[in-house]
Amino acid sequence: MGNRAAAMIFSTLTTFACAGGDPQPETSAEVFCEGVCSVAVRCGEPSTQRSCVGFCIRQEPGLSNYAFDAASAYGDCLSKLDCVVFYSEGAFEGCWETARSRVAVDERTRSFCLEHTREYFQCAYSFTTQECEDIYKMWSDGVKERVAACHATGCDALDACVGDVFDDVYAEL
Amino acid sequence: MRATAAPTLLALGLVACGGGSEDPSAGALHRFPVPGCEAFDHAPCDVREEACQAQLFDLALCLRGGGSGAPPAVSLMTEPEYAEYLNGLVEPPPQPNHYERALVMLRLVAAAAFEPATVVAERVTNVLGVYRHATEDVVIIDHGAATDDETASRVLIHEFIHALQDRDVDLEARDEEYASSYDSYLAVRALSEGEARLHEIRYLASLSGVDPGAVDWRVRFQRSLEYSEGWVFEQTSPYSAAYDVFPYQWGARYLNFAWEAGGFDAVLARFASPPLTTHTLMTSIDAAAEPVTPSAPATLTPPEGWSPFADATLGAWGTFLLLGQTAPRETARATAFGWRGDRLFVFAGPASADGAEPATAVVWVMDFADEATAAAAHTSAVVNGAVWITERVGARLTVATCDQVVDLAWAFVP
Repeated sequence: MGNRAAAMIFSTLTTFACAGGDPQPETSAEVFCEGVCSVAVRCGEPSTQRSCVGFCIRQEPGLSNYAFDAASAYGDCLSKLDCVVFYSEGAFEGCWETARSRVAVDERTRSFCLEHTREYFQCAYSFTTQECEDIYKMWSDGVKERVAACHATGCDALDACVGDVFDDVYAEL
Repeated sequence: MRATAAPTLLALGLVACGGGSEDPSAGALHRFPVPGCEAFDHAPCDVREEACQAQLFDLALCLRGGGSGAPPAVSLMTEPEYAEYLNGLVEPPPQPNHYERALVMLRLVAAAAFEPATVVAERVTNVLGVYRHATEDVVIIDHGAATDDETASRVLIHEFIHALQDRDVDLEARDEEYASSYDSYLAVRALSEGEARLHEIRYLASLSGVDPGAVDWRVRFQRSLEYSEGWVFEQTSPYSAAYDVFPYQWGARYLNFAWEAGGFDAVLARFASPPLTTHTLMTSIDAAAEPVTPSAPATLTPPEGWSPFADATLGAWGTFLLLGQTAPRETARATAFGWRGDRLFVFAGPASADGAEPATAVVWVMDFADEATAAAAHTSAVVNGAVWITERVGARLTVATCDQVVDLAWAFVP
């Protein structure tokens, strides 16, 4: 998760001169890009932190699919990686799981999962609210809303609809 | 209690990725109690401990809404122990087993489906727990990692419901009284297994963090049934596989209507007047269906040298299994709803002088509500079996076949 997006960022990274100060990241994309650019620049990417972040945000609009806290924890984990580890296989997956272990369940996720798990339960799937929260706390409210729209499809289409949402989400990343 | 033929979650990859249920960030699962049982602890526990057994028994009493007494003894068996236990119970079928051969010809079971080794292996794999009438105790089958506290607690609730049923209604005597054929066995078992599954699933909602009070239970039980129906048709022996799902899923849907209407008393009323055919269970879609009075096709007399081996009623369910092999599921189901009675005769052929195995012949006489339904069944049967001889007369369809080349004209005597 995020691995492909990150790979794309660093395969096309170029230097941009950006003006302005250093505002606190306000979006998932900003906070993730801050983290990933921190390690990338430290590990030799020919860019400045600012230009890297700017490019990262423009290049990967799908980063907005991450919940802010998840993107923050994800980027933070990446930023602390050793350069060898950062460029090794599985670095992004490992940080995604590290982030998952650090992100708390927010109220929006909690209420979404109450409804979502009930829908799955009614459709005779085995899925607990805890499993739901563990997944969806990582995704933005927008992703949750797209998934929630699947609840109207009925049992026959529910699973496929949720699968389609995530296919789109991954394609956007 | 049998393992449910449950669907897998398409998003399972996501769930698997989620992993970490012990992850501190995930927080504790908030469990909603089953309405009316708020005073009871719903948390799963170690079923080997007496305190856990007492906790779950109290909960089972509340879930059921009736019953009394102390918890029955509970023990665990490993899979090898359970296999050994079953090996002592399962009797070898007669050889040659013409009944099995007949069902193989009808494509309802695979060869050796009724051999003890097959039966034991299937049960060891699929049985999660059992309530033993003779000793009035519960055995949980330990399937290793698959038997975690949640699963074992859920299974124990299910088996405790059986123990409570047995105190109210002598289950074994009831089975002996009503279950005289495949059809009536599945139907009668649907009451005991249906009630146990009903309350087990209400408890499962709580275990899953779902508010049982917010669940559309009719949707849930219908959906479980649909998955199980599909699963049965994927099995090599759908006739046998039905034992794993029909009483549970069709029974739960059926008893949920009673439960919704009048709770425990309404459920007990069903036990007093049980459905005797799978037709009643299958057609209870939006409400409990009125039973039809099945026809009783006359006994067939085979030619000299042939002897009757088995005489069974497979019911609307068996008819559905037959027709659903080739007809679209919806068509087969609708046709089976038109079932009005059947008899399946199995005959053993004359012994041959050269010591060859005697032939097996099967004649299945099925009555339907009307000629159009019988004609639909006929079409499905003809498409299905090129080696079957089929004949429809009015609303009656007869299907016959034999594993040797013999004249079966006698099977179609009106």
